[in-house]
Amino acid sequence: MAATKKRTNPMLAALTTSALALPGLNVKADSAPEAASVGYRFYVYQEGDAPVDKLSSGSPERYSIYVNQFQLLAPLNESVSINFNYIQESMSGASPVGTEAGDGGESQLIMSAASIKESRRDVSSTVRWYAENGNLGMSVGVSNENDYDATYGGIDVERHFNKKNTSVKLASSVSSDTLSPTGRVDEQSKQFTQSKQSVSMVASITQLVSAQAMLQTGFGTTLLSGYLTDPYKALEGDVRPESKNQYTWSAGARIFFAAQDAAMHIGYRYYTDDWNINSHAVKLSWYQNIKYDIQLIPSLRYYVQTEAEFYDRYFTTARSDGFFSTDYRLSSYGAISAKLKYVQTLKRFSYTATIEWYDSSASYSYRNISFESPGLVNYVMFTTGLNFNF
Amino acid sequence: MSSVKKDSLLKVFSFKAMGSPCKIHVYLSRQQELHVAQAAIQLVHQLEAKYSRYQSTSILSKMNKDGETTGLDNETIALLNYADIAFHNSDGLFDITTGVLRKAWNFKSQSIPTHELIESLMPYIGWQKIIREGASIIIPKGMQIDFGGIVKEYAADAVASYFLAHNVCHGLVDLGGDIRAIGPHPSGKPWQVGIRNPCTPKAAIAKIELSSGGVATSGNYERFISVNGHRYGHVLNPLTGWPVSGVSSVSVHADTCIVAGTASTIGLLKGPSEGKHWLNDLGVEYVLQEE
Repeated sequence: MAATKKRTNPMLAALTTSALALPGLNVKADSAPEAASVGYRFYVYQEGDAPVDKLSSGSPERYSIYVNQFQLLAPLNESVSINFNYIQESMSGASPVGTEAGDGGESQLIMSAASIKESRRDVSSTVRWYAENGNLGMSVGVSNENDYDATYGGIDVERHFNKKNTSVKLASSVSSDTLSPTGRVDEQSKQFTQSKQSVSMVASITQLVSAQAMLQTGFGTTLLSGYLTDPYKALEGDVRPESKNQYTWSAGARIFFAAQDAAMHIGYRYYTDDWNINSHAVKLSWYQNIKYDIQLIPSLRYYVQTEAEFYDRYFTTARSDGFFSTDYRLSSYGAISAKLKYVQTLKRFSYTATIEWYDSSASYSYRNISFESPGLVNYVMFTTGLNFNF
Repeated sequence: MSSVKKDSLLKVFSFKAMGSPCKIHVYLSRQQELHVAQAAIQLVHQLEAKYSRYQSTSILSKMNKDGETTGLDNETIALLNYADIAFHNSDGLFDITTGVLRKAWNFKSQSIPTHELIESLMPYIGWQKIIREGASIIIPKGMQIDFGGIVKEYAADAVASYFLAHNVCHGLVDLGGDIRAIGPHPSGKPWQVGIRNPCTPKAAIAKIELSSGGVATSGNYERFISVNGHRYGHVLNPLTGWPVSGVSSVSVHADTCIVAGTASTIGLLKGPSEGKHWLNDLGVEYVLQEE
């Protein structure tokens, strides 16, 4: 047995230099995925029936939505990846058109007839470039429905600083949509067609504060313009402004608990727009690791919003600005949702299953809401998915 | 993040890959790092699928079968370059074409091949006979290459690099005895790596304290043929076609596991006296056990 101390030797230098040229020894955290993966996800979304006692017309059976999603992620080379996403959605059921005054002055729900059957297809692609300290993504997509077409695109850039303890992300996207509601014609008896545009910008910063904790905050704005009225609700009286400026601020923390082998994610989001809707959302999730291949994630979310300036459950006189809507989504309400997600990672597959219960009601608001919209929705959503890595 | 708090959790992932029991000991402090560990294990399986000579679909098997291959990927080219450097720095002792001799030497039997059989195979051995140009390789008919002495060591380095690139800085990767430190324990204490005694393989005869770099061992004691009291170990000299003798094992500590593995193999092939001399010259920490 013998041992010596290290010193430089040309043979060792040659071997070491050659070893360090191996790609596995030059890993960048921000590197393109090494292998292609395909994923499939199936969602079932079922809304609870509308309250029959508050129904003025239409069907109480609300939306059922089935979604098939396929995803392909493939590396093009060491620093570029491409992603394709295809979504096919089929919807059936009735949706709330608005509310009106009942005989006793109570608000009554107008539902559409139950015959709505629609399908939507969405195709999008993202190309992402990876560099030593960040990545850049560019995406485009189109979505088609028989009465709604959208074309969208976006660019995002993420940069890491401070030994990757700080990350800054900027993203911007635009969308141009065309609405051609079924059965609606304009003055010349041609298909009634309208358009709307949106521009979004988001900036966020993530900071690792210790090995166990990470903080994140972000600011976003979306400017919408064009025809923002719901074309089906418009028939029953729904006129909205032709612009909407939305602002969001979010903050969150992730804390890892080593003894429990779990992490807690806590997040808050504030939203405000110039239609006078303000909302607060708080979400708490617990990521529990079980062995190293299973993760169980229960989460709870609380949401509350104020109503739009021009919302009411019914109108007896016209508003001076000419805007009015009885859409439940613009009313004051609160919502609670509970979700349980299961993730299992096998050698080449990962499997996820999620169930979510969502319940909205005026009584969940911390504010005192005198009149609840009967259009408020409750739903159960089940998602299951499979991912395969090559 | 300069330090990891004491409550970060030491996790041990045990799995089987490359024909060996593998263990990754790593301190994880954030939930997301579990995915990093899973991806790191996946990396080992991917390298195995790519370079195993036991899998007919591996790139290596295809290269050997087709003889001529063009458009090799960067990783394969870099591994071949490494093998080339190792060959030229070992006077031809480190040779990834030696595997052909397995046709003659069966260490499950208790008989040795004839000299004629060995001599008939010698024309098919010799890295210098492999023709390489950029991303192309020509393996002459009857010859084979084998990354057996490189890929497991490289995988240990790649796993450690992967963790480090994702800010996981405390851990030890052990792929069937090819060991690479990701970094010391969070307290700064090094890992204790045992060097086995050939006579009592389960007991360690020496300990290397490892905070960084890799340790690899080449042993001649695990498989052997015993005929008329002479022991023929499984490490074959590519220049003679016959097992080397005199050294039962060499363990080397170097900056990377792949270099440690190459140095330990060359040290073993060179025999006790020249081996020590060569390892001393190389300037690495080593433990050489004579037979």
